[in-house]
Amino acid sequence: MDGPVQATDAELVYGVQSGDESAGTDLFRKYSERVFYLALRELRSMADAEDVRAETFLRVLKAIHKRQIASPDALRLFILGIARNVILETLRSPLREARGEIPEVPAPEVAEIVDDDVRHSIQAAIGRLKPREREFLRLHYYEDLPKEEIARRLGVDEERVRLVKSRSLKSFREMYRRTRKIADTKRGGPSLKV
Amino acid sequence: MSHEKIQREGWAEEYVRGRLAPEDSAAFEEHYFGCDRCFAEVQEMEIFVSGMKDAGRRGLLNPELDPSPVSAGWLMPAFLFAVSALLLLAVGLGYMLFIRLPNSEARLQTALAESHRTEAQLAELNARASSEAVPQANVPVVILTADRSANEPADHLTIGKRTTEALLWIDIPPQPAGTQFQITITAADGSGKTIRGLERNENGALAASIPVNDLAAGTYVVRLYPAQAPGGMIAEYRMTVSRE
Repeated sequence: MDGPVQATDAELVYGVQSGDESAGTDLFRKYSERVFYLALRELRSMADAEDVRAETFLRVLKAIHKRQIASPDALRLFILGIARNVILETLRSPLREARGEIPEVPAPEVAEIVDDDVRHSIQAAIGRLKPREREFLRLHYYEDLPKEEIARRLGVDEERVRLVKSRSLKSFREMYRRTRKIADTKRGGPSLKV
Repeated sequence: MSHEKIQREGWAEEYVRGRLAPEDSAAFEEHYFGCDRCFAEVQEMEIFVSGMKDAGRRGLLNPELDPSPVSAGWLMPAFLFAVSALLLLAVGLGYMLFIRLPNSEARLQTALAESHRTEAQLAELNARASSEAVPQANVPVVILTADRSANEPADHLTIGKRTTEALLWIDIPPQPAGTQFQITITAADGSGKTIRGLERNENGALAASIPVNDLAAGTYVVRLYPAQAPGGMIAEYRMTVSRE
C-alpha cells in the first residue's frame, strides 16, 4: 500500500507563508533527519547536532515567513545551505574550542550509533566470513587502506575485496533490519537510528 | 550528478568514510537531501562502517580469532536454557497428566456426589415442609356480602397477634353450575392481590384463605369476577381490617 502523499517543497513553502501550522510540521519532518545527520557527521556530538537542527529550522521558517527564499522549488538547497552555515558557526564557536574539540578534523565515526543491536548484527555478519575475508574488512574499515593496497597486500584482485564487502554488508543489513524490527515491535513503533 | 552514477560508484560508502573529494561530497549532500533512497543508504552505511570500526577495535576482525566463540558464548546458555525449559515442561506435563489430573478428577467426582446428596436432602425437607399441616386455632373469618347499601359499614376482619391466616367467606349471587371465579383484593393505596380457581361450596359461597401478612390494617375493595371472563365484574365488596 502506498504511504501518504508527501507535499512538494513549493506546497510546503506556500503553506508556511499562509499560516498553515501543519506545513511547518511537514517541512520539519521531511528534512530534519538529514540536517541532524549532516550535523552529527561534522560535529560528532548528538547534543550539538540537535542544536544545529533546531537553529537551522528556526532560520528556515523565519526566512520563509519573510519571503526571503528565492524559489520555493529550491527549498532543499536552501535548507542545506543554512544547515552548513550553522554547522560552521558551531565548529568555530568559542564554546567548542574551549572544550578542546578540533574543528578541522572531519568526523568519520560517531560512537553513539554503535549500540548492542549494531554490535550483534556486525558479529553475526563477521561470523559468516572466512579468516582471510575478515582480514579484508579489517584492512579496509579499521586500517582504512584503499582497495588497491589491500589487494596488493593479500595478493587478491580488487573485485574479490569488493565482493567480500558486499556480502558482509548484505549479511549485516539482514540481521540488523531483523533486530531493529523486533526492537521496534517491542517499543511499539519504528525509530530512527541516526 | 545522476542517481545511477552514485549507486554504481558506491558514493554512499565513500562519503561515510570521508573519501569523496570536497566538491563530490557537497554534490552528494545536495543529492541525498532530495533523495530518500540515497539518504537511507547513507544512514545504513554510517551504522555499518561504524560497527566495522568498532569490531576492528575490539579485535573481532583479526583473522586468527574465530568470532564464532562470541556466538557460541551466546548460544550455549541459550541452548542450555532451552534444554532446561524442555525438561521442566516434560516433568510438569507428566505431573499434570499422571498425578495432578487424576487426583483432581477424583476430588471433582466426590464433590459432585456430595452435591447430589445435599440436593436430595433439601428436596426431601421441602416435601416434608409442604406436607406437614400445622393446626391453627381462632382463625379469623370475614363474611363478605354484596347486597349491602353504600351507607352500611363494611364487613370487618380483626386479625390477632398470633394469627397467620384469615378466611374470606364470600356470598355470591346465583351463577351457572361449574362456574369458576377469581377475586381481587385491593387496598386504598392501589396495591392488591388476586386469588384464582374459586368455586361455590355446598353453602353457595366462596371460601378462601389468605396470609395475614398480605393484609395491613385499612380498607379494602374485593371484586368478584368469573374466571373465564375477568373483564366482567360480578360483585364488589368492602372490607376493613384491623390488627390487635
